[in-house]
Amino acid sequence: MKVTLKNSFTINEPIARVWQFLSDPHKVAPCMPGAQILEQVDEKTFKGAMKMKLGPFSSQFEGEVVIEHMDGAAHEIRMVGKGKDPKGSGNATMTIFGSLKTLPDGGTEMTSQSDLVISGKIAQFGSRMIEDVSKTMFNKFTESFSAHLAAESTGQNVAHANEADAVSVTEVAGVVVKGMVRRMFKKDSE
Amino acid sequence: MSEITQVSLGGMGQSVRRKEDIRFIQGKGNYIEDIYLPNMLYGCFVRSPFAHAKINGINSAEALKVPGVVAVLTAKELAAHNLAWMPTLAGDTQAVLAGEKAVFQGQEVAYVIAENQYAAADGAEMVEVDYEELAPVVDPHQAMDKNAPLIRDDKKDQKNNHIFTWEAGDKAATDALFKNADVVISQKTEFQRVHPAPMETCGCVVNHNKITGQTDIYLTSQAPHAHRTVFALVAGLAEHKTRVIAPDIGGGFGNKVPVYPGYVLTAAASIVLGRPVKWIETRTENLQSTGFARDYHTQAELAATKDGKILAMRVNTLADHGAFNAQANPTKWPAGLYSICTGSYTMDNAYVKVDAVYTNKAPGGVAYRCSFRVTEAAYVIERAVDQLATKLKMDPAALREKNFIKSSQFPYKTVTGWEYDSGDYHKTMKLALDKIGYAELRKEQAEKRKKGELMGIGISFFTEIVGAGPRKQFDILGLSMNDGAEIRVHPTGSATVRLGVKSQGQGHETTFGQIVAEELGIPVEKITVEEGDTDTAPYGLGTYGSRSTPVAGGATALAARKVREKAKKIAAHLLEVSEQDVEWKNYKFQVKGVPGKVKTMAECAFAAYTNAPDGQEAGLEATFYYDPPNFTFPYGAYICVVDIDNKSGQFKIRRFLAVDDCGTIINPMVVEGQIHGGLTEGFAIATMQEIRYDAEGNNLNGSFMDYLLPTAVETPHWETDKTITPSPHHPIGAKGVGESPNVGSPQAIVNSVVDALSHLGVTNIDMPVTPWKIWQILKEKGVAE
Repeated sequence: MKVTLKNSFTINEPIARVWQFLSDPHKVAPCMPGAQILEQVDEKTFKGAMKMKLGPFSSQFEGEVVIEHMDGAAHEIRMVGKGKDPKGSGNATMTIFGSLKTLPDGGTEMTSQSDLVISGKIAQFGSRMIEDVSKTMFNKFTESFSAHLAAESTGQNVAHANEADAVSVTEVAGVVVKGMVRRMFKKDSE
Repeated sequence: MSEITQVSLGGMGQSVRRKEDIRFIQGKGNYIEDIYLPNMLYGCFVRSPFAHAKINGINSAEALKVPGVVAVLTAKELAAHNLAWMPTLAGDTQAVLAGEKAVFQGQEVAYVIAENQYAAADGAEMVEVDYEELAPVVDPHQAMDKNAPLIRDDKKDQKNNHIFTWEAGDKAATDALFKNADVVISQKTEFQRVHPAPMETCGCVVNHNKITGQTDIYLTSQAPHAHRTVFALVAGLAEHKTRVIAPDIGGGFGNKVPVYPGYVLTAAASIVLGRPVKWIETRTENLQSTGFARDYHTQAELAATKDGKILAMRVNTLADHGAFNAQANPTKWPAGLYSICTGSYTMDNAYVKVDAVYTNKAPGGVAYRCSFRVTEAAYVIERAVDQLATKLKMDPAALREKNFIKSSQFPYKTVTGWEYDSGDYHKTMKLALDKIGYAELRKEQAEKRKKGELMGIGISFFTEIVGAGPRKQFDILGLSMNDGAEIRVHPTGSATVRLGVKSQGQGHETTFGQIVAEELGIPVEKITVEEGDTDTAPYGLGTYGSRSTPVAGGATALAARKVREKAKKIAAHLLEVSEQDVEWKNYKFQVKGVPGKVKTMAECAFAAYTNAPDGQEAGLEATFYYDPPNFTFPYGAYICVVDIDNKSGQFKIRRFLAVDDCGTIINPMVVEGQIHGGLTEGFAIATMQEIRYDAEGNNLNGSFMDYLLPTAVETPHWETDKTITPSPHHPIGAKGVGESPNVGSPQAIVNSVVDALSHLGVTNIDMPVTPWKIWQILKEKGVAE
C-alpha cells in the first residue's frame, strides 16, 4: 500500500544553512525515527536500516538509500530508500522529495513530499494504522530536523531521534485513536 | 396397538429438535482441533509476504536449530517426490509449495514440522526466504492487458493471464432482439470478492502407519469420498488403505470443498516420518489463502418493449480467479450454472459470456452457500430488472409479475437450456407483497420523499438451481455427481442410515432420519444417521450447492423404499397372506381391507433376522445410489424496506421478509434456521464484507478486525413465510433450501438502497453498500453536506 504525505514548515535559518544540512544524509537520517545510516557506499549511495513498529508488528528494514536527484541551485533533493525485512515480513520503499524556498523574513520554507510504499505483513495488518503512524514519524522528523539544525548552529547536542528506538507502540496507539476520532468527523477523504 | 402417526414418528414436516445440538450446545463436538493422537507432530507454514515475487533461495538452517523442529519442507523436497504441484478441482495445476516464485500474498512457501505448535511457529519465523519482488497483477481488467506481467509462466502454453472464455445462449439472435428493442438498459455491477469465513478454519490430522500402510486422514471436508479419491490420484495412496474421516465440521459454505496444500503436505509429512501430524490454519491463513467466493465483474443488458415485456438479456462477465484456477465447479461447467441468470422470467433469447483471468491473489471461486455461481447470476438479473423498471417508470413488482414464467408453463425450458421443474411465482410474489403491505409502503415512500426523507423498498425474486447433478452432464474430475445412502434396520427395529454427503451444521442427523421415519415408520429417535467416514459411508460427492436433500435425500428415500419392499415380503409371510394382499398404510403393513391385521416395521425387522421366509435372503438393509434426472429449482420473493438518514448515509433495515418455496419441507424449524443463517450471511455480503487488495497485492482483510461478521447487534429482524410447490421429479418433492437465502438476499438489500435514492438519479451502488458510500452519493447530489 502507498501512503503519500505532504508537509511544509518554516525554519528560522538562511536557506544556505538549511540546504547544507538537508543535502547530507548523515545529518538527515538521524532525524527520522528509527533510521540509521550504516555505511556510505559511494557519493550517492548509503547502506541503512530502519525500525518500524506497527501494533503487534515490528520490522527492521535493511537496505540502501540513493540520492537520485540533487540540485543545489534549485535547492531540491530526492532520496529513495529501499529496504526489506530479512525475516520476510515485508518490503518498504520510501521516496522523499524536499525543496527549499527563501521567505521574505530571511527564513526558509521547506516543502516535502514523502511516498511510502509497503508490502507484506505490515501492509496487510496495519492498513488502518499506517497513515497515522507515517504522519507521526514525519512530524517527529520535522521536529527533529529543526532541533538538529538549531543545535548545530548553536553547537549544542540533541538526542538523536533514533535513540528513542523508532516510534513506540504506545505513542502510536494514542495517535491512531486520535486519527480515528478525527476521521469520524472529517469530510474530504476516506 | 397404539396408532403410529407422523407426529409420533417425527416424520416429514415435523419440527423435530436437532439431535446434533445436544453435543454442540454443550461444547462436546469433535472438531479437528479436538483430535490428539499419541506422538503427534505439528505443521506450520512459511507464507509469502508478497503478491508476486521470485524466490532466489530458501535457507532452513536456522529453523532446524530451533528446539523441537523436526523437518522443513520446501518445493525442492516435494519435487523429488513429484509432489510440488497438484491438480485443482478446475483442472489447473497449483503449487503445493511455491518453487521458482510466489504468486499471491499468503502463498505456502515452506512447511515446518515440529514436536508442538509453538516450536513449529518459531521454526517458521526462522526460515529465511530470499524474495525478489515482481510487479503484481491485481486488477482483473489489467490482467487482460497484453502488457500485463505473465503470472503463470510455469505453464508452457500460457502466454497471457486469460484462463477461459465460456458462452451460453444464442449471440446472434440476442443481438438482433437488442437491435430492434424499444428499450435497452445496461448495468455495470461488481460482485465483490468475499470469503465464506467458516467458524472453524481448515485443517487435518494425518496418521500413516508404516507397518500396515494404512493412512487415516481426519479432514475438514465437505466431500470426504471425493477427497479420498483425489488423495489417491495426487499422492498415489491406495484408496482401500486410506480412510478419510470428516468429524464435526464447524461450517463449510464451500470453503471446505477444495483440496489445499496444507492437506497434501500434512499427509506427505506423516507418510515420510511415520508419525501423526496435525495442521490447522489460523484465522488469517484461512482468510488470505483458502477458497474465496464471487469476484465477478459484469456488464448486463436487458432489452424490452416499451410496455415492459423483457425480450432478451446479454451478460458479459470478467471473473477474477486468482493465481491458480482452483474454483470448485462441475468439471464441464467452468462458470458453473451461471446461465441461470435469466432468472424467473420468460424472454425470447439470451447470451452469456464469462472470461476468467489469473491475478496475483489467492485462488478460489468456491460456491459460497450457493450452487456454482448462482448467487452471481441472481444478483445480475435482479439488479438489472430494477434498473429496467426505473427506466420504464414501472413499479418493480409489477414489471416482475408481467414477465414471470406462469405456473401453467412448468416444466419450463429456459432460453439458456435449463428445465425448471415447478413453480407458482405469482402466488409466492402475491403472498410477499400482501404480507409486507407493499401498496401502503409505496404510499409512505411517496409522502416521505415530499418531505425529503429517504426510504426504499427492494425486491428480489430469485430462482435457484440446485442438486448437482444428473451424471450425464455433471461430474467433478470425472466423478459423477451422484450420492449413495445405505440403510440397515436392526433386529430390534432401530436403524442406522449412512450417507455420502457430510453435514457442516445443516442438521443431517435429524432431517435424514425424518425421511427414513416417514418412509419406514420407525420413530426418528430410533434412527442414527452417520456421515463423514469413508470406511463406512457409501460413496458420494459431498455437501455443497444445496445438493444434500435433492441428491442424497432422493437416495435415502429410495433406499428406504427398497427396505420397505423387502419388509413387505416378510410382513406377508408373518400375516400368512400373499404379498399382493398386503398394503403399506398408516406406517404399517396391513392386510388389505382388514384394519386389525397389521405388522409393524419393527416386527418385520425382527423376523428378518429370526424368521425370514424360506428362499429369502435374511437381513433388512438396502443401498441406493441416486442419479437425479434434473436439478431442483427453489425460489423465493424477498422484500427489504430500508430507511436512510439523509445527512449521514446511515441506514437501517426496517423490515426484511423472505417468502421461500423449497418444495416439500422435511423439518420446518431446520428450514427456518437455514433461512435465518443465509439471510444473515447475505446481509453481511451486501453491507459489510469485501476481501480487498491494494495496488501491491496486499490482502487488506486478513482478520475479523478488517473482515466483518455481523453480530446480533447489526443483524435485522427476519420475517419468513412460505409457499410449497413440490418438485415433480424428486422422490419426496423436496428442493433444498440452505442456500436460497444467501442467493436471494443481497440484491433485495441493494435494490432497497438504490430505490431510496432512485429519484436522485442513482441506478447502482456496488456492494458492500456502506453508509460511507451512501453519504458520498448524498453529498454529490447536494442532499448531505
